[in-house]
Amino acid sequence: MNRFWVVFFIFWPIVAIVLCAIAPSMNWWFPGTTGPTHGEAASPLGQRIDDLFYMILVITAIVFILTQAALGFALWTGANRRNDESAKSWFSHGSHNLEVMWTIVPAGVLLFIALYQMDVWAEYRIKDNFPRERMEAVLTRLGIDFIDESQLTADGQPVRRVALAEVTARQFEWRIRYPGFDADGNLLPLLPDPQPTDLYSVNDLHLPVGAPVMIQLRSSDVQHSFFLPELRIKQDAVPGLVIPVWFEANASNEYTLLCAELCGWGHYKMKAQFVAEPEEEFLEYLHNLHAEQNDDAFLDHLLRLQTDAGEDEGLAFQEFLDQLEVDHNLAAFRNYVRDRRDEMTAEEFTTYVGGLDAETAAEEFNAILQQSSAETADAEESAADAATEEVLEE
Amino acid sequence: MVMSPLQFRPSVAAISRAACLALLLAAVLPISGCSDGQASYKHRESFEELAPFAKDYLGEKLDEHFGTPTQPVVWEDLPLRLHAADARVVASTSGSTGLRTLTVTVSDENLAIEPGMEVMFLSGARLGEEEIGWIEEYDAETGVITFETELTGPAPAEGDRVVFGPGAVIQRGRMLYAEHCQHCHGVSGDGNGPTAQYLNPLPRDYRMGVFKFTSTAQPARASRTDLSRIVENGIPGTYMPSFKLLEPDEMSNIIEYVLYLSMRGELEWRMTQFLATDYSQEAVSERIADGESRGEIEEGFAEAIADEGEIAEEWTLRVELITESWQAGQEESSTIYPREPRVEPTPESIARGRLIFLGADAKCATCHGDSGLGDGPQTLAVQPPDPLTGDVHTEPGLFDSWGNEITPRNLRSNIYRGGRRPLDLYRRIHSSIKGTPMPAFGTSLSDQQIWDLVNYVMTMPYEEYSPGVGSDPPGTAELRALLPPPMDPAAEVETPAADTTEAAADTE
Amino acid sequence: MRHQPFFAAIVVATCLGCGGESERGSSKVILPEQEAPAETATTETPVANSTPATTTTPAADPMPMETTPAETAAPAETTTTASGPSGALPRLYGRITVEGAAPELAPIAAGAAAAACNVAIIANEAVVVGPDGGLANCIIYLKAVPDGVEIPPAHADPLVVDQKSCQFVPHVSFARVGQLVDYHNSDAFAHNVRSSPFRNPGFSTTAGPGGSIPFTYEQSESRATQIKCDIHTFMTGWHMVLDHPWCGITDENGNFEISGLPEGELEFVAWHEKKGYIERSFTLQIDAASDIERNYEVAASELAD
Repeated sequence: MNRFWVVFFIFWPIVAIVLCAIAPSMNWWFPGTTGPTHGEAASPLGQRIDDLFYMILVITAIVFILTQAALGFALWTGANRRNDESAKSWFSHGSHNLEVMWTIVPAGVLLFIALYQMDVWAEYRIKDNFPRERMEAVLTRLGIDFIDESQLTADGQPVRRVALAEVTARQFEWRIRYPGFDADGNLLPLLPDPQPTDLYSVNDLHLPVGAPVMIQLRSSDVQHSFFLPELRIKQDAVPGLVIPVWFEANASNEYTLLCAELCGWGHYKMKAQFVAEPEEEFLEYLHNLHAEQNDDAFLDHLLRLQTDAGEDEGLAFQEFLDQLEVDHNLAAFRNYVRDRRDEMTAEEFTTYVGGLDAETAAEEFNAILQQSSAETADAEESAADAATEEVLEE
Repeated sequence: MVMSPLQFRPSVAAISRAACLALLLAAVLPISGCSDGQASYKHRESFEELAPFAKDYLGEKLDEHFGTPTQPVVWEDLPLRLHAADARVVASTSGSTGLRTLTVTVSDENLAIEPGMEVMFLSGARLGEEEIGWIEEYDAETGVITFETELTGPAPAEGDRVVFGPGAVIQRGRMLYAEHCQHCHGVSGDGNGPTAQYLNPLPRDYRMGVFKFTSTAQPARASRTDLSRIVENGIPGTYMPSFKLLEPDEMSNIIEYVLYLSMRGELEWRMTQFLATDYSQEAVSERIADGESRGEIEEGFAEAIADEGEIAEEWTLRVELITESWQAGQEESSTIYPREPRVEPTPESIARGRLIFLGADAKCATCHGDSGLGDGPQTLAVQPPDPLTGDVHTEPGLFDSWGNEITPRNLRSNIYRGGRRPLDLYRRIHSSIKGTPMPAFGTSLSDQQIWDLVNYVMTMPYEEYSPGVGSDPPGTAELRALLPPPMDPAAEVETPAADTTEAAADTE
Repeated sequence: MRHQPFFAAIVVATCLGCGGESERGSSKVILPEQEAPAETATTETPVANSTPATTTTPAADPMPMETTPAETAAPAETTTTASGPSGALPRLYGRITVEGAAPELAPIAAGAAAAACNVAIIANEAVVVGPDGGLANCIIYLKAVPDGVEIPPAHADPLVVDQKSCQFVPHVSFARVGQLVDYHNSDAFAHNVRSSPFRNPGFSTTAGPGGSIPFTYEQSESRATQIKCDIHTFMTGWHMVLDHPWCGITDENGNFEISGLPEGELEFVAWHEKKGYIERSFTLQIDAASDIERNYEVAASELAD
């Protein structure tokens, strides 16, 4: 029976060692095995973190094998020595040499690990070690003027706004603020305070791929933890702090964004996606956000005017104009067309005025442009509404 | 657990027994955990105040038409997408013992038609047949369905209505609702799930059929798009999170179930209101005090719930009204689109907007305050009793239709619950925030004025203003002085004052 | 997904615990009811002999557009006090009085709130008692029209409910189903009307200075509906909306009259906003010559705040 326990206690370490040995090839160690990365780290920094992990795994595996072998040996010899009165146990307790040995050896190993991982940690956590040049190169390619001359750092340099998004954790979702575009369509830098031009999304973080990018992490209520398992990025969000976090995705993919905060009932629900995409697509994403956030649905009104009127054919063009006149927004329609003359083509024009062939549409389109510019010229002369202007002057 | 000496005897048999026990426990635990859950709908408080016989009637009627959360009844009268798919029979073939295949045209597919789904005939000769058909194979291109086992009984005719997976949308919606929504919104959709007590504002109670942030006209119901927009984006400033990563069909299933709960809750609410007039416990005891006997009252009740009785007819009418109003809300014509494009947010437009905000035409500042901090004088008034909720107010404050205290939005917080697009703000102003004191201004302001107001409201978070130096942003007093004088001067103002004093004198 | 035996077993296990759904539908389908819609459809067939006397009562008479509501709030009723009931038979009339000293209700607004409305105080109209104890603004109405009775069409003129000096004028009014209700605003500032009926869809809409909100109730209500203004939250008013004309509202002397009643056994209700039901239900046997007087006394204590 005693042998049974020897076998039992030796069997499990062997299973553990075998599992450890095959784990890396099976990608069992890391999160995201079912995702697009199949357990591989999706960022250069993540790969170095994985390497550190394997290094520690090897060290602990060696120690584990040695201690288990010693345990097995002790059990086996002990099992054979039963009923042997002469072979008494000896006690190592109080052995000074042994104590020194098993204090110094692990301390040395730990010190080695601590020093060895230092530069990875520093690059990830220490702001001065961030790969700023590569981050700024991304901003330059996106056309952001990120050097803020209006504010100076302690050493007199203008502040460089390198973050591309502000991620605010709240119970229980991720709210994301991106910089918006100025009137000329240039992407603006992300300022610490919300700006009227900012763009917003929720649970959907888009950033450029293949280069380090930085976000500002905040929390609007309790502690959260920003966790990109596939990129091996984890950072607590602390109420009252704005924490810069950078990461670099290797490949264009949809990654998982989770909250790794343990305490509190709803953090598990904070599942979002991080989409790493080429810079053009990122810009396009922001453009779409901009368009969506500024959509005034006037086109929908016109389209409905069309569909409401005649189920199949829609209104003829003149009827359409008449109807607009009845609604008192013929002028608004003309201005709308005029304001969008750069973006709108005659074909697009037909989609909502309906009932026109391409040629007539082009004619009408131009006619409206001319007519409306004439009208506005007149209007501008006569419109000198005193009340509002006075207000403005104040 | 009683420790038996057996467990300490180290034998292989004991170990395998322990392993079995562990497995068993693993299997049993989740099940016994589940059974603590609530498997029935909770009734509203006013329902509990009905006389016992009225409660029995309404409770049974609701169970009959809606079932329980775990055994939902699929009621065809409701304007919901209930089934996986809806189709019409084109042709059928018979095998040796009965109906073998069916050719159909699918008119409405809410879930993919899959093998193993039930086939149910809702018209024609097979209507009401007890034998259930199961799909073995479905060919989407030809529309041919092969049954697992051949069906006996009459063959369906061309044009018969047939559904696949009857109630599948509700079944699936219920599971998803339980997973994502139930702990806040409650099993019955009463906004009172286990976590609700920690939340402010409270989760929405669907049972009035009212949803706050909609794109539809003032009296109309929310459209499905409105609900999915909220589920997708969450409501900033509240605990409603975003569920952006739900698959589109998961989203639509949840929304159907929310509508289902809403319709059930509204029917319960409206019928309770109707019954409470004559058959609440209070009314019954009042009637008894007035000389009626309990027997007479119960007799009258039995008459009223019989066919063509007033309660039976009220039920039918209510179902119709709820159905019609939800259907109308889904019509494209209910959606509000601005009739004019957005006015450019120029300084002129913003200044005009500010004048409207402070002025008498819209009176925004009455609630939102001159500075837009949500601290207008109305927030200090004591509200009159509310006949709908039955609440009598003694403390100052504004209340919504659910009887919860609410504050006017602080417009400087840069948080927009119903969405931050100019279009969202336009709709809030044009057609109100439903169920709250925020009224619709679509009837009193022009599109141009609403856009000016939107432009002003959108600049408020960025307006130069430090709270604490005074209650209003700079220039408010000057602007107020610029506002046009009241429409009808002295005469209009004085006469009613005189009338009122006279009336007061009369009362005395 | 095909229902494999293994999966089925799991489903059964969950059922034990949760009483859960079974994959093979236990769903119950209730088919659309084939019945005709309920009587509320109010087939408003034009009636040839519908003279004003048979269709309306003084209190229920919608105010003509040209006169201002303040002027029409009372006059018809005041004349009835002098001359007694005047409408066509069969008829129900009577008087509702306050027993004891009329309660003095605090004004609903005074000080700054009233000053914003350009008046000194705004009286509470929940209880309006005439000089000789008549209780105004009680609603007496026929609960349901018996089958087969021809219902006179609704008045073509709209019912005007004015908002003037932060009061709804009239405070209590009666509208027919399908009749246009014109919520007018005579004040120099915006008002809002929030109506929370029981059957009709509620609404909450603003009327600017001099503006109007047209609204039509499509369903008959089983009890009075409150209207209020969210901009001046102390303002309240009441509506009775019915699909028939047989409703009376007491004037400031407490008199009411419902004339031109249909014949048969009719069930009436008498209600006041402060008291609640004055009489929950009373049934009268009406024939062509019926001329029934019914008076009530309401204890003053029941009207106090």
